[in-house]
Amino acid sequence: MPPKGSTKRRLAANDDGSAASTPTLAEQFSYLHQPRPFKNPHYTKNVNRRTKNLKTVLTQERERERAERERIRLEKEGNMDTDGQAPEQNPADDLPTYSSIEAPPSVLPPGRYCDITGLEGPYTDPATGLRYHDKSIYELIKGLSATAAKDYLAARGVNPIVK
Amino acid sequence: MSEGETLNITRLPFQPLPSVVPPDSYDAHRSKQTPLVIDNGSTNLRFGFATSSTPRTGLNVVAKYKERRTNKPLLLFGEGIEAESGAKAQAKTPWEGDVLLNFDALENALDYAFIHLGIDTPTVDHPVIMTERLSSPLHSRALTSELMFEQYAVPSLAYCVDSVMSFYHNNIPSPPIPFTSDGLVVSFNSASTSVIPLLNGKGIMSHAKRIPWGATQATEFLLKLVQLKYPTFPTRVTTAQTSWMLQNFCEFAIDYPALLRELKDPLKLRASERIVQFPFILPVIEEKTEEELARIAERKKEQGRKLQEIAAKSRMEKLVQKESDLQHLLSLRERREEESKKDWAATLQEEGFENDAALDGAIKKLESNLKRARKKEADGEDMEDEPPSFPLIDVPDADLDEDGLKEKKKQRLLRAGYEARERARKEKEREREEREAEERKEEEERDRDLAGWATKLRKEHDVRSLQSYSFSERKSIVLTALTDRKSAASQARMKSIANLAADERVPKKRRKNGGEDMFGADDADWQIYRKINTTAPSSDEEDDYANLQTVEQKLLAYDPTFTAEHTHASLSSQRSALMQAFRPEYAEGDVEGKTRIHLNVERWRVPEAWFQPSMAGVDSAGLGEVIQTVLARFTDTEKGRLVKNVFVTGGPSQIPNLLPRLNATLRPILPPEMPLDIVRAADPVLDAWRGMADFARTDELKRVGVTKAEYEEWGGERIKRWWGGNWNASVPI
Repeated sequence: MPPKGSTKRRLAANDDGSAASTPTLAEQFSYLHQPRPFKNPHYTKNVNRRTKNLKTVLTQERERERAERERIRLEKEGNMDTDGQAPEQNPADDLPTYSSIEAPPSVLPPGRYCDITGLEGPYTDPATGLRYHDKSIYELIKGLSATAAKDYLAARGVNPIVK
Repeated sequence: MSEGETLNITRLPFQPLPSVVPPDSYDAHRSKQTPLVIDNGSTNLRFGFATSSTPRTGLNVVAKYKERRTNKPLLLFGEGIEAESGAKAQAKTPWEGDVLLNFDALENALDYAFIHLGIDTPTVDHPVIMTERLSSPLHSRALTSELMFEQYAVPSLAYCVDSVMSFYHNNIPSPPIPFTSDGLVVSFNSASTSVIPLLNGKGIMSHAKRIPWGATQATEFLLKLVQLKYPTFPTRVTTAQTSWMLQNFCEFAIDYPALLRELKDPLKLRASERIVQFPFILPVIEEKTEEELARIAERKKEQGRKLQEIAAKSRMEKLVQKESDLQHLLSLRERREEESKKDWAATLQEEGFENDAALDGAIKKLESNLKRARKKEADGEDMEDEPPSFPLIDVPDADLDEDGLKEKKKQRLLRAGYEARERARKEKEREREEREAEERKEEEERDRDLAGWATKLRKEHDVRSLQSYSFSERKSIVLTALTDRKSAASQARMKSIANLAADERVPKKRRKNGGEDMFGADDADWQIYRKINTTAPSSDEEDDYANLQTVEQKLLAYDPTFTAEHTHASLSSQRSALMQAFRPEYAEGDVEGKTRIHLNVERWRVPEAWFQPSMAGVDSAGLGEVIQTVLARFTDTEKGRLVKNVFVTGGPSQIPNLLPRLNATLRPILPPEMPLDIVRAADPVLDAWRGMADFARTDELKRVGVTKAEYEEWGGERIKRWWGGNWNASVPI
């Protein structure tokens, strides 16, 4: 297949398409068949490269970090002075990891907002658990089906298991 | 509608097909070892040589797609995926949120980058500076390094944090002054938002914090809100459209509670809305003109007439048939006179009659049928039965023989039936007369005193609607009580069911005799079903409702002041003004109106999630709180240095009102005399790349990059610790 699109290696512009059809827009975009000389032909794909699940990657990180801390702590204990000086703070504590820099959960009281409109929602419907703004919204909530009510709650992050 | 001019309607932008961009020529950089700058972002991939002023960008998605028609495999990158609709389903991105996981996709993306930079040497012979996430997981880094060093054989590779480089670009000192700025960098990325303090030009990565809320989460939140608001929206709303809505209509609220209180007013709510008009198709209504309608009616009448004719014909034929049968039977009877008894019996058998009486009966039946049919043809309406005579009824039983008795019984039954029919007919007539009399009376009353009649009827309507309402209310209360397991109503119901099932109803005596259940013998027993059947509507309510309807009809027809608005149906389904402002309803046939999305509260609600992620279900501290936590780990003087230069960068930071909001959030938590200054990057999207390019042009790059030899010795995870890079698994220089 002739190279698509523009000049490659300063070749003269080729006539488009082997057959009568001009290449479609998608084909012009496709670079599947463009030469990639910069790639190392001897490089074999590392088996390790299988796309791992995010969860497994993070657990792996955590394990490694814990092992690392243990190691440094033991090392520090080995080198500790005999006169019982308090050990220095583990420098490994300072090292940030992907999970350690995650923001802590909020300590501020959560705001109460209406699940339907987004305005202030001081009242809560005892049957479904939805927050609502005023009487008219409550009328609407009364008419909601169970799945709709669950969807509204899910948007807020509340997932009732048994309802 | 006259409101059309004042409504803020924006049409969804039409996405044009992307155009092919030819790759650059490589001559400028051949054998020059110009550093290659790659900003590997979750949304966009930006790449270029350090000497250019702007990078080339492309959406960071790759699709390997086999075109069905021509069976050609295609490899598409970035906007090229728009060119082929089927490819969108196969699009893979190297990022999953904030973590680099799919290295096949990354390889293809980098291939695209290098092809378009025109590189044609056997290796990529340029030192590379690339971005990674704040405290990126080592797995990602290891595999990226492996890819770069083994696959592309780059001479050296340096990693940096994008937001710090953007800060560098905006605070770049003129050499030879080294970079020693202080500042607090707030970086808005696609899948996270990070806060990184910098002191003396060094990023203090151990004190940085990351919130798992970014542009993608905000887009999903907005999409969910729109779907909840419009559950019956005709078209599907895609993420790309939602992100366009987020970028164009949403803004931060400087004081969220005050804003909500303002929006409580339906008028303000309507004033604040933005309407997005989605593409729609007008249905083609076939307007039948008058002539067509007339023609159709004609055709229907024709068909009716033809059917009638066919029916008449068949009736005629049957009649003729019956007549001939009658003739035949009559002739048969005459033959009886002629033949002998035995022969006669044989003939009868042939014809299918048992005896004389049967033959006579058949003849009589046929005769009467014919008579009736003839009459029908003549009159065209049902014949009035002459009162049939029942002679035998009066004869006492003793005088009759068996046959006679049977006859008498039959006649008695017939008479009873006849009399009952007469009675029913008379009743109907009487009722009709009564109704007519009533209507006439009402008409007179109406003619005399319209107002009086209307008020009387209105009162009746009110009473009935109240009654009907209370009935339906009562029913709904009962139903809800029954669904709640613990309420008295449902417990009573369970008791009745248990009673039914128990054997105690059968008294002891009967049990001895074989214990049959006598449920149902007594009519009152069936009442139990009313109690346990939860779903049966009470018939009373239906009657009531029907009465209400008739009263309403009368009022609607004759009273000019009673309009459709006053009917019970419209009163009960009235929506409050607030709901109407929040989600305006369009008429049934208004296709254009039904494909509109009104954004009012969502415009501020979605960006508010950056400051209160719990609104969207993310259990994390908001931006204000996180900044406070980060600052708390520093001394006061350091804090002062940090907040004098709060730097905001990243794509989502372009949402309006961010800076005033940050100011309002941070000012209260700092001592009043501390100067607070918030700036945004000059170009929030591209400045990270520019900062990297600036850095790459200095000599420093050589010091901080990992060379191939070092990679081979250390492996892919270890990097050098420098002011712009991560600290995990790093080695001080």
